[in-house]
Amino acid sequence: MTTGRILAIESSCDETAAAVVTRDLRVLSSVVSSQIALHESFGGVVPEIAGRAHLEVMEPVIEAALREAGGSITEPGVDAVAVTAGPGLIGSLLVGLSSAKALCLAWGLPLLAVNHMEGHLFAAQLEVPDLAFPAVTLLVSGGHTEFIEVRGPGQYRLLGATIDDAAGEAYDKVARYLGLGYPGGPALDRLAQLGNPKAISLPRAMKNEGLDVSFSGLKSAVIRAVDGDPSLAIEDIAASFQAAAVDVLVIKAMRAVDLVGARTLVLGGGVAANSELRRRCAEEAHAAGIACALPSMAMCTDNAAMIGAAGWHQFLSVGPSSLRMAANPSWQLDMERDA
Amino acid sequence: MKILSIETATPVAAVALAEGDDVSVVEASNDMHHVESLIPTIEAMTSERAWSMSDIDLIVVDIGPGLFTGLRVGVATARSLAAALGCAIAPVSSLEVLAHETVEQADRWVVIDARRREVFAQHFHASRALGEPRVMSPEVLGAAAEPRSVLVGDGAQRYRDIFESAGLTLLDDPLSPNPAAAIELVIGAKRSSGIALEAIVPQYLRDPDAVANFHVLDRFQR
Ligand SMILES: [Zn+2]
Repeated sequence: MTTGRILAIESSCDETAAAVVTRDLRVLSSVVSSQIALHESFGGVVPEIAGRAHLEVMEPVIEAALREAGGSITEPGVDAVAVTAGPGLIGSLLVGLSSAKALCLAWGLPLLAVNHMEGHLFAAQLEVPDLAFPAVTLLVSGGHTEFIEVRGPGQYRLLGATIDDAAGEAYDKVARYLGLGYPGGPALDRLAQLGNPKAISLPRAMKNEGLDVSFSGLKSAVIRAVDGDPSLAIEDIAASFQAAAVDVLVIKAMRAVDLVGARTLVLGGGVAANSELRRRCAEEAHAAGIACALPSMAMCTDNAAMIGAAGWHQFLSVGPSSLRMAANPSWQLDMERDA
Repeated sequence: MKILSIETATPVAAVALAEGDDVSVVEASNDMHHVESLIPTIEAMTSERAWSMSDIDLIVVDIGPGLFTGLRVGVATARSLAAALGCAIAPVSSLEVLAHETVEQADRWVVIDARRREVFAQHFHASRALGEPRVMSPEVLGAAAEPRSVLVGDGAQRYRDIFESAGLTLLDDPLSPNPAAAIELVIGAKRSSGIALEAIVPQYLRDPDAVANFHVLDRFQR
């Protein structure tokens, strides 16, 4: 007897997460246990600390997600178990994958090994079920800055990406330089709202070429500007950096929209929680006469519900994965590449 | 009582099933492919015995010390199986299992390779541990062990030259803990019930490297 539900597990970086998602992409539960406090003093995610923490909270998080959806760990009431098998930190991925396989064997259910990036591409659909395709998804996080054409589930084309630092990495580094702690993105965003975005003139790298972006030069330019004028207000530095970073992302996103004739612009990844990026994307999409899907903060950052959505797609189109499946820390999503 | 025992503390992963005196052991992997091989091996062994997973009463798991990657796979697997099956779980120490397998050698050091030119080691006499498990360099162990001690385990083999030049004797076998011996240890010590799942965590003996996955941070901090 099918239940029309799957359990999804995510542990690729520093969030331990589990969710129950229905076949029509309703989220019955989504539990996320964040490790931010554990990594704070190191200024970034420490892989070994992350791996240890996942192991300690994995079953409690899974139990909580099942309970919230009306099941239990011995009577799960699901048809399959979806899990992130990559990309991510190997020590973190192994915990989720080992648990998922064990649950599949214990419950006699199929395993669905999901690509984390594909999860991010599905996140918006959990909140915007009638999302119009083709869409351009701007995936921005501490590990990713990618412009992807999505024509539907499983149909992706990589249009552009960062050639060096990810946008979130640039945010974290500038925030650290300004002494804003870790993770610095949200703090930098708040400060920027109080400053003058034109206080420092910063470069918009590769603004006129193609759909790739670069952030390493921007970070260096911020440091040079601050060194050259120690009297600059921190709010103005933050606002100027944010304006330059968001400018580049939005210009490229809209160029991608034009290129593929997209009907929707979608934001995903942790940096999609950035207020200025959301505001500018909504504004530009509106001006271009297309829809803009801005998922909630909980759906932008790492979670298991999005893995459940990608899991359903895989279950229905490809079928289950082998219990011999390995974790793949550098698993590239299957995408056409050109542009 | 039907028992499943999971061993992943070294590059060798192995599984044992036991019901009374009827014990079987299968090596799942000998090259760190633990996450790939562990569950398929358990599946094959249980179906060969026509066990249903829900028949299992107790899961025994090696919690190390050992290689962290392997321990994560073994402990996550054992915990999730025990949670889903609602069965008992019992932890064993890798060093105690190896000591149990060599109990006829009165005085011995059990030594597991810890990588980075270190070993996890513990001193035993008969079935008694003479000290806590520790992580140390092979040189320190070579100086600490007395000539009457024999050394056993994959860590002893790896640094054979150092130990032999310190005048110590090595046992060639066993190299890795045997999951069937782990079952004997748990049953013999009557410690197979009432252990909370949250208490089942690897014995690391080493602090995590506090190196953030933020490779260019130093360059930036000036
Ligand atoms: Zn992510």
